Amino acid sequence: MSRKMLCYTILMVLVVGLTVITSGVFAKETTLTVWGIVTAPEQAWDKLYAKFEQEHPGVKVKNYGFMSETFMEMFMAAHAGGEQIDVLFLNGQDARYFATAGILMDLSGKVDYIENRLIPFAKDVYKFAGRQYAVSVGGVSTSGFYYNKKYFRDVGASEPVSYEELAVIGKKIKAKGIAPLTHMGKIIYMWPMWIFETYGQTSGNDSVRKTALTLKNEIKFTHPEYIEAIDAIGRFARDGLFISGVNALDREASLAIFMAGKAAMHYGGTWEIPGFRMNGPKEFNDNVWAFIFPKLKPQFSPQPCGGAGIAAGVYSKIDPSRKELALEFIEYVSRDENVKFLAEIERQVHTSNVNVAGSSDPLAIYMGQKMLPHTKVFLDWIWPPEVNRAFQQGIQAVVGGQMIARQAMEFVQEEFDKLVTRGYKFVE
Amino acid sequence: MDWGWLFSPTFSVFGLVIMNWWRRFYNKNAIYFTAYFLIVPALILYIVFRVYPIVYGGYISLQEWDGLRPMKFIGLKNFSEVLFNDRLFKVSLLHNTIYALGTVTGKNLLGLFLALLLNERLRGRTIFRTILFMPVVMSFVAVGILWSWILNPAFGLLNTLLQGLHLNFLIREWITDPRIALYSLIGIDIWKWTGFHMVIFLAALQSIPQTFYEAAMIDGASKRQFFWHVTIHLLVPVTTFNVLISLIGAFNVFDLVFVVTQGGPFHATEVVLTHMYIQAFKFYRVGYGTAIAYTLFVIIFILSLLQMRIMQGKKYEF
Repeated sequence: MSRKMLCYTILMVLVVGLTVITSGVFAKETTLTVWGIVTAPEQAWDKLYAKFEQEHPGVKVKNYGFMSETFMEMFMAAHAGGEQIDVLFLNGQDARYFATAGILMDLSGKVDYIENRLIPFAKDVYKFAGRQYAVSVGGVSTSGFYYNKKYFRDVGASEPVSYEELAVIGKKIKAKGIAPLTHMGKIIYMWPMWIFETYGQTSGNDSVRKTALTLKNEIKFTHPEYIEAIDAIGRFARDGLFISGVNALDREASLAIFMAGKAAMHYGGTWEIPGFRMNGPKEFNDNVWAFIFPKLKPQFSPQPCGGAGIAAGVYSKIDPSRKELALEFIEYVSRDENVKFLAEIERQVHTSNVNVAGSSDPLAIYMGQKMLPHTKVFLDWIWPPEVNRAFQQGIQAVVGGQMIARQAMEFVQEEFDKLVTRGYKFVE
Repeated sequence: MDWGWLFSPTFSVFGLVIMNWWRRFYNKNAIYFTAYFLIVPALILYIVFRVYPIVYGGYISLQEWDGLRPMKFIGLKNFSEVLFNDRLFKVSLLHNTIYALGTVTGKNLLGLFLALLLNERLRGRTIFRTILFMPVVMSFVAVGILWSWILNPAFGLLNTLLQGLHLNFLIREWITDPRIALYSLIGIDIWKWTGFHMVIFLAALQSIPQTFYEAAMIDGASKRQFFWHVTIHLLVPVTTFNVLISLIGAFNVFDLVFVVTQGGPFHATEVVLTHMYIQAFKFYRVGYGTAIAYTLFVIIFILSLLQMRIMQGKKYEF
C-alpha cells in the first residue's frame, strides 16, 4: 500500500477537487434580459426577478427599463447592434407595432395557460390578426374624474351625471376662486384619453369597432361622430372648466394643483391613486373620490378607457438556447401570486388575472366596480402613431382655441391619408 | 520545415541592408512617425465615432427604414419628400429662421453690451461676471423645466410678479399661446447663452492693445468714435465666431423646445430637429428622419459659409 496507494489517493483527491472547483468557477451563468418600460424595478419587479432567479439556479435577470419617450431609440440601437434581447415588456402602442414588424415572437400555442388565467379583455388585447403576441401582466386600468368632495359639499353639489350638471358645478366652484378642473395638458399624449371617452359616447359605445373601420378607410375621421366627440372636449374649454393655462401643465404640476386643493377636479386614470396616497395630504385623501365621465347627451352612455397590463412578449430573434427560459419567465410573471403582489404595490383597481382582485384601496375598489365594467381599450393602442399624434395636436389646439372641431378632424384625416399613400394597412 | 536559410550569409547581408535602410529612413522622418503615433488613437476614435456615423447616416437617409425591419433602398425619395412634400418641414425651418434671427441678434447684442459694462472698473465685477455666466453651465433640460414653471400661466412666477406690479395687461399665456410661444423660447435661449458670448467678447476687449486707443486719443477721437472706429472694428473676428456659434446653435435647437413646449401648441414651436425626432422615433421613419437631418446639415453649412465670407471681408488684424 504505502507509497503507491498514497500516490493514487492524492491523485484522486486532486482530480475530484479540481472537478469540483472548476465546475464552480466555470459554471455558466445564464443572463435573461428584460427590455421595456419597467423603469423603477426596485419598487416591485426586483423582488419578482429575485424569486425567479431562486427558482432557476444559474439564471440572472437583468432589467433594461426606459421611459416610454426614450424606449424606441434605445431599443432600435440595441436591436440594430445585435445586443442580447430576450423578453420585452411593452406598452400597448408599441406592442402592436412590434408584432406587425416581426419583432415579437408569435406565442400562439405557447401560452395556452392564459385561457384560464386571464380575463377576456386581457386575453384579447395583445392578439393581432388572430395571433397571440404577448401576455398581459399586471393591472387593468380605467378612467374617471377625481374630485375633492369638500368643494362639492361647499357648493351643495353631488356627483354630476350629465355634462350640463358638471358645467353648473364648475361655474359655482369657479365663483369661489377655485379652478374647477385641472389636467396635464402639456403632456400631449394624455389628451387622446378625452376623445376615447367622448367618442365612446358619440359612437354609440361602439368606438373600438368603428376605429377599426376608420383605419380600414370605411369611415372618415371627419364623420360627424368624431367631430361631435372632439367638439365636446372643446366645450370644457369654452365653458371655462379647465384651469387657466391647462396646456402648460405637466403631470407633476397638475397633480400638485389638485392635491393642494387649488382645483376641484382632475381627469385621469386609476394609475394616479398610488400617487394620491403617497404624496397627497391627509385632508385631500379623506376627500378625494371619483365619478364616471358625464353623459354628453341624455341618450349616451359613459364609456371610460383603460389598458390591460404590460405586454410581456419574447424577442423574435432570441437566442434559441434562451427561448424556453424566456417563455418560462413570462409564465412566471403572469402567475396569480406575482400579479397580486404587483397589484397591491401599484394599487391596481383590477388585474389581468381572473383570480386576482385589485387593490383593497376603497377608491380603487369603487372605480373597479363603477367604471371598469364599461371600460374599453385605449384607442391609441389601435391607431397608428401618426394618427395618434394628429389627435394629440388637434385636441390641444381645440382646447387652446386655435382650431374648431371640424378643422382638427380634417387635420387628422389629412395625416391619415398621407399614411395610406405611404402604404399603411390596418392589421386587426 | 527547414529554417536553415535564416542563417544563410545571403539572407544575413540582405537583412543588414534592410535594417540599415530602415534606420536611416526612421531617423530622417522620426518627427513624422512620432506625430502620427500620437495622433492615431484620437484619429481612430474620431473615425469610429464621428466620420463613420456621418457616412452611415448618409446611407440610412437613402433607405426606407423603421429601425426594426431590414432597410429598403429608395434612392433620393426621402430627400424629395423633405424638400417638396413636407409642409411641416418648411414650417419648422421658418421657426428655426425666426429663432436664429432672435437669438443671434439678442445674445450677441446683449453679450457685447454686458462685456463692455464689465470691462469697466466696477465694484463687484467678478461677482457679476460669475452670475451672468451661471446659466451657461446649467443643462438645457434643467433650464427648460425651470422656465416652464416660471412662465406657467396658472401659477408661474412671471405672471404672479406682473400681477403684483399691477401690470395685468402684460400677463400672457407665455408658452401655450401660439402667437408668443416661440418668442418665449427665444427669450429663454438668450437668457441661457448671453453669458457665454459675453465672456468671449470680454476676452477680445481685453486683448485690444491700448496703443490703438492712445493713437485715437491723440487724433482727438470722441468716446463714440472710440467705440465705432476702434472697438467694434477690432471685435469683428470675435463677432464672426460668436455669430457663427449662435447661428449653428439656433438651427440645432432641440432640447429646450422639447422640454418646454414639445413643439406645440399645434406646431407653433416646431423646429426641424423636433420634427426629425418625431418622424424617426415616434413614427418609426428613421430613414426619413435622417434625410431631414442631412438637409438641415446642408442648410447650416451653406449659411455658415455665407456668414464667414461676409464677415471675414471686414477682418482687421493687430
